[in-house]
Amino acid sequence: MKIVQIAGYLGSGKTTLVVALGKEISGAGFKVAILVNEVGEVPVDGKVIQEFGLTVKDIGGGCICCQVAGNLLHTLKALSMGIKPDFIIIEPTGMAVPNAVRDVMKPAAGKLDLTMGPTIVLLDTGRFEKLLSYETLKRLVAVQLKDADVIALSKVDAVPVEQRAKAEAAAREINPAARVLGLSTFTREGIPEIIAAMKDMVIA
Amino acid sequence: MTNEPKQDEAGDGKSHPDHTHEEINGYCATYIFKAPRVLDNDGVKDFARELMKAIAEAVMRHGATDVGHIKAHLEYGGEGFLYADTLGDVSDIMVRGRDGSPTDTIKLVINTIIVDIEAPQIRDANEEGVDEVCSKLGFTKEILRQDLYDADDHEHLLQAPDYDNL
Repeated sequence: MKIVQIAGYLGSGKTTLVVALGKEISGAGFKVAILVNEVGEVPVDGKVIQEFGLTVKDIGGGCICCQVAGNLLHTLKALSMGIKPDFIIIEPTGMAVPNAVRDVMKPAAGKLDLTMGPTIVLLDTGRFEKLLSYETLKRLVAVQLKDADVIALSKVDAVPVEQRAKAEAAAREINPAARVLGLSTFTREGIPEIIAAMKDMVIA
Repeated sequence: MTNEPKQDEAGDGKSHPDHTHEEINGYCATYIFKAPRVLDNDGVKDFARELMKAIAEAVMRHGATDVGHIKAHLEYGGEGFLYADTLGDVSDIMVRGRDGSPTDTIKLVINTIIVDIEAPQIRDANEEGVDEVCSKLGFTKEILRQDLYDADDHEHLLQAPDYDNL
């Protein structure tokens, strides 16, 4: 079971990407489980993803990086004892710190036969300047980007090329080691590259 | 700016996440709305759009720095399903889904996650927006469930036995 995290600040397009990935990967014959973490006890995103016919496990009631981390472990254990998917796509809340989520899972990797795949962090090309200008948000957004193996510049179809270039420069400055690519779930730009990263990348 | 985990106040010897999201709080609720007349799909979509806009405006009036997100799903008219969300601007409001039968009853679940105001204020702002739309369109609301989310609440950090028991 390979774990791939699709992270990023609130509204960056995580759920839309998760649906697109889930449909493509399951369509290619892989077993996929989607694990959605939401602040609310009653899921919204999980319900939406389920509407697309994908297997969804909801973890509600707080953030898996710090508040309901135990529920993440129990869900992974249930998946390992049940459908044993090829890929588990985790969508944490938009407030989650990706490395903190990874830290929760790492000690369980051996016991649950988990392989750590890439952390893909989305950066909204239309809103990144606004978010990085807020004192209270820039630290979180930057930490999320620093934790990325792949940074996906989301909604590139909706911004001018200059804006996209600015977003790319900001992302590279914050995390020079990450792979940076453009993403549009409307045009499918970036989707094949993300799927290739999910299949190929293994994170120690 | 750092991404280093810090030792948690619990003092259990394990490293824990750096709490970078303490200014982000939330309110989640489940409702049943009754419309004053039977609505078609466009009527339900208009209601969802009005709701997103009114709540986004209310949280900003209450002092929010940014609408993190407001997301809702609506179930109505048998198989009818709508997903509505906004990041704060009127132009950002998205409503899409699957058509249902004409109905006067809508079940709605909403997650309102907002930056820089406390959870009880988010609840108040959310309900202010909901009441404003209900009053304008003649709807009645019944709240089935309400939950507050406070990002400062870190009571559930993992301990070594959590892993031993896997």
